[in-house]
Formats: sequence, structure tokens, C-alpha cells
Amino acid sequence: MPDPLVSIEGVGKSFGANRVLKEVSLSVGKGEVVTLIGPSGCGKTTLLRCVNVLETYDSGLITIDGETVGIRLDTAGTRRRRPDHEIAAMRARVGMVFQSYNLFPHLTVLENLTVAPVRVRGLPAAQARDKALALLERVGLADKAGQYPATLSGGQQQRVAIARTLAMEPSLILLDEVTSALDPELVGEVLDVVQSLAADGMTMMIVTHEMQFAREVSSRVAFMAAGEILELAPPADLFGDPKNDRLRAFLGRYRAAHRI
Amino acid sequence: MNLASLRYLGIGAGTTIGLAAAVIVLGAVVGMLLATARLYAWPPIGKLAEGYALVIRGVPLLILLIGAYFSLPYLGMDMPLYAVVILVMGLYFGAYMGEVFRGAIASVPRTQWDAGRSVGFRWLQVFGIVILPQARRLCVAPFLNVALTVVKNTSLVSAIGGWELVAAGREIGERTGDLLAVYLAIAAVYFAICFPLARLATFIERRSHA
Repeated sequence: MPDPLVSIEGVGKSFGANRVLKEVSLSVGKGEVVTLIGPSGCGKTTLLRCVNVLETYDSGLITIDGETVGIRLDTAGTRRRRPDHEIAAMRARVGMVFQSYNLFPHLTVLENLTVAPVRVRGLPAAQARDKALALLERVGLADKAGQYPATLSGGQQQRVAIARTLAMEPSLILLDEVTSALDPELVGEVLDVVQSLAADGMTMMIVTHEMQFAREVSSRVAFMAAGEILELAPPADLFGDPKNDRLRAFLGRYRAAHRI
Repeated sequence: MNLASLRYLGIGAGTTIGLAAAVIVLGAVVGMLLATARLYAWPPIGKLAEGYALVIRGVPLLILLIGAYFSLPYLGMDMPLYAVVILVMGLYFGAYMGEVFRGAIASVPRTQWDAGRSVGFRWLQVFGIVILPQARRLCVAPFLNVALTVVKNTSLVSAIGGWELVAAGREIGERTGDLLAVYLAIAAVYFAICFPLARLATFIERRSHA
């Protein structure tokens, strides 16, 4: 396996009495695409959010590039939440794309792409602008630069969201069900962009319900249920020869629902 | 009414507008503090802000004005009348504006926080760059409505001996004996000040739904 970029070791998390993550361990190598699949409520989105410290985790440790995520262990081994600016600095290197796009509605498409590089990275405005236009070109939306997000279709908004993430030149991108809110005919255009990122060697963690896409884009696929990873394998093995009973049942239900 | 009377009324109107502007500015500052305290401060501070708003909104402004103006000297604070008026009304309408701001900030979706944080903004940056501009859009119309109330309520100042539009009109009325014409004129001036504000509020409200 290539050098691990993300290492998740024994991560646990509860919402009250509900244990949503139970000792989850997973590592993601540089340039790898790891996809998390599983039934709703299995903890895959929570795990992704923990990697970006949008959720805290109660036990275990996540590291990115050797740096502990969200917390710091002092000499006595006590977990201490990192200060706001350290967490922000780490998030600046980790991109995240959300199910509901979450573009900034009060900013134009172009401003959505330039605001963080300028305000966080300190990039000169002209440079940020050039880069943003190049990225919009890449996702096929250069002509929408001056428009507001509300005027775009869902698929276009999601492509802008991906471009916004790329503008920060992240070393890791987290994609949380990025096609779940889209009309079926718009799913393809977004997945094409994600596929091209994978081809460029971008390290990604993807939560998705699109099994065909997971099969095509992933280096490895993790099947989660009830807060645990039950099977982790390259897509050909996981989809072609599933070992775990719950995974087999899950895939069976999926195929029946999608008639494939 | 002759020209001199109209000019006198004009000076009264100017005083009313100046007073209202000062109260609106102070009220906005107080309101912003109350809103942030209730949304983000250490919970006991938030509760305090909530309690303040509840009490203030349950007491008539006139009572507060009279109470403050006539009791502050006993507390060793001998402030000029207009200073007392601006302070009391600013604190009073600050409670209302606090509700307006809090509502607007709270109605920006939580997911905008996620988005702001995920691109690497620090807390204050998310608040200032992502949340506040969206909240500002939402609160312009209700804020203008409070501003209207401020303009009209400056007339209470004459109850504690202050001078503004209503007091100016009363003087003219007593001099000329034509009370009806004077009070109609006063009403017209208030309307002239408030109507554009009300239209602006409706305009912005309509546009923000589009």
C-alpha cells in the first residue's frame, strides 16, 4: 500500500446513548480513493465528518499526514481539543463536498471559489481569480462565473462546490453523498468530475449510494453497518465476491431496487 | 399656518429625525450584543440577555423614560435630557432589535457553518464572511419596521419636557389656536418620514422572496 495519508484508528463516537461509531479503523493511502457504502444511519457520514472535525470523536485517533485531527494528546496522554485556528488550518488542507452543495448563496460562483483562497491562504485577488476561472473551465462552468448559485441547476451547483474545494488545493477531498440530492439525469455530470479527479491521483474518501460509481472509481470499498466496517476490499472483490452476510443482503436489496 | 410656523415645524421634524437616528444606531449596537450573547455566549450570559429582553418588552417605554429621567439625578447621574432619552430608548429598542437579529442569524442554515468551516475559515470568519451577510438580507425588512416604531415613539419625549416635532406643533397650536391644522400637519410630517421606510421594507421583503 502507498504511504498512508489518513489513518483512522479505533475511532468511537456516541450521540447520547447511541453508539454511531464503534472502534472504526481505516487507512487511506496517498492517491487512493476509498469509498464507504452501507445502509442509512450506519455511521459513514459521521466518520467522514470526524475526519474534517465537523464532528468530534470520543475515542481512538485520526491522523492526516501524521498530524492528529481535532485533538492533541499531551504528554500524559490526555485528549485536548485543538484551538480553533489549528483546526481551521487543517480543514484548509482537506476539502469537503456536501450532499446539499452548501455553496455560499450571497456570493457569485466566482466569489465562492476565491473567498477562501484569499481570506485563508492570503492569495492575491487576481491570482485567485485566474485560478478560479481555470477550475470553472475544468468543471465546464466558466460561463457561469458571474451568476449566483440559486440560478444554477443542482448538478451545476455541485460542480461549483467541487471546484470551490479544489481552489484550496487540498491534499484530501471528502465527498458526502454528493449525488443524493440530484435529479437522476444530473448525476452523471457530477460523477464525471469526481472520476477525473481520481484519474489525476487525488486522494478521496467518498460516501455514496451509487454502487456502480463506487465500483468504477474506488481503490477500495468499505462496507459499514451499525457503526462498524464489516468488509474492506478492492471493488472487484467486494462487489464480485462479498464475504459478509449483511453485505450480501445489502447488495441484494440494492440490485433488486435498481433492477440490475 | 404661515411660513414661520412651517419652518418651526421643520426644525421639530429635524430634531425627531436626529433623535430617531441616534436611537436606531444605539439600539442596533445593543441588539447585536444581545443577539450574539443569546446565540453564542456562555449560557448564563445568554439567559441574562434573554431575561433582559423579556423584562424590557413587558414594560411601557413611557414608564421607562419618566422613571429614568426623574430618578437618575438621585443616583448621582445628572445627564442632559436628550442623553437620557437616547440611552433609554436605545436600550429599549435594542431589546426588539436583538430579537430581529437573533431570528435572522438563526435562520441561516446550519449547513452554511459546515461549508464555511470546511474551506478553512476560523469561527469569526465564518460568522463575518458567511453567516452575517446572509442574516443581514433576512433582517433588513423587520429591522426597518422597528426603526419606524422608533421614529413614531420619539414623540413620547415631550412627556418628560423634551422638545421635538410634537412639542413644536403644540407650541404653534397654542399660539395660533388652530390645533386641528397643526396636528394634521404633524401627522403628515411623520407620515412623510415613515412612508419611505415602510415602502423600502416591503420592497426588500418582496425581493428577498424571489
